Amino acid sequence: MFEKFINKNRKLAIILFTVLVVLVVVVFLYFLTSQNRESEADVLERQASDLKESQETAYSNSLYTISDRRGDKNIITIDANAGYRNAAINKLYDLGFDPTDFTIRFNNYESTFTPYE
Amino acid sequence: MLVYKTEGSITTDIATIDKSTSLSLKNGTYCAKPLSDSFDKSPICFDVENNDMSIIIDPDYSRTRLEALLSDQLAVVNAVITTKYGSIIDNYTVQDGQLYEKGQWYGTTLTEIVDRGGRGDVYRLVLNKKNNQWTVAAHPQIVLSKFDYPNIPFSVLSNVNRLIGEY
Repeated sequence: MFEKFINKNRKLAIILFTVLVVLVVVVFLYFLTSQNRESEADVLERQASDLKESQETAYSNSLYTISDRRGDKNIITIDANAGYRNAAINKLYDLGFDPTDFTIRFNNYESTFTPYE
Repeated sequence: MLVYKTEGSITTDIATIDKSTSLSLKNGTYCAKPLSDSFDKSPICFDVENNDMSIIIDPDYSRTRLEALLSDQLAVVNAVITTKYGSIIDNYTVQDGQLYEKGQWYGTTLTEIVDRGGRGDVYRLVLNKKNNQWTVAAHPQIVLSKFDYPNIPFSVLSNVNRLIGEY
């Protein structure tokens, strides 16, 4: 019966078969690309990270100087008058950085607590 | 714990759970938040994409609960700090500080005492409670870096760095 139908409607059968093959290919391609597709949250996170990476930390006023990021981009050097080191750190927040993300070195400074480190 | 779906500005409640639960969810972004006032009600969000997945939702204690816990612990943590740093600590003002997560992390500031008109540096310190004992996890520093303390949760370091010293 199926063979009869095909013999009678050869053109229609070819069209149906072609549509079926195209559908299978489309579904297969969709499945493949969806495996590698970044979620919206991932894209936003990556864009924010790229933007942060391209920003610079350099800043200077009469009380302190903050260096550009150096080496592997995770090191910042601060030159600050006594008592203004925290003000320099607060400036990093103002510039959009979390100082926790960096190794921060202060010039001409030694912590009282260094012997305990 | 309330599980809800977020689509743009629209949220739809999905389920209320109180223990390990299996949920059948369509693809999308979902959030869970504690209903109890004892826990931090910040939403914990996750994406569901095609596959079965396991999500561990383990919220921190609420600020109120942590403050109540701190009042019981304050004398002990101060004793640990004083014992550790001896007479050096007399040159600093130690604030009451805060507990974090489930009360196992403690952070505070030590502000250098200087002459009138001067400004002292502010140091940050982290203690960790293990086996019912408090120990110093991060010695006092002006900034606590995630590179120096990979074993301390980033959120704890970051929050302690934001503590303001006492002037």
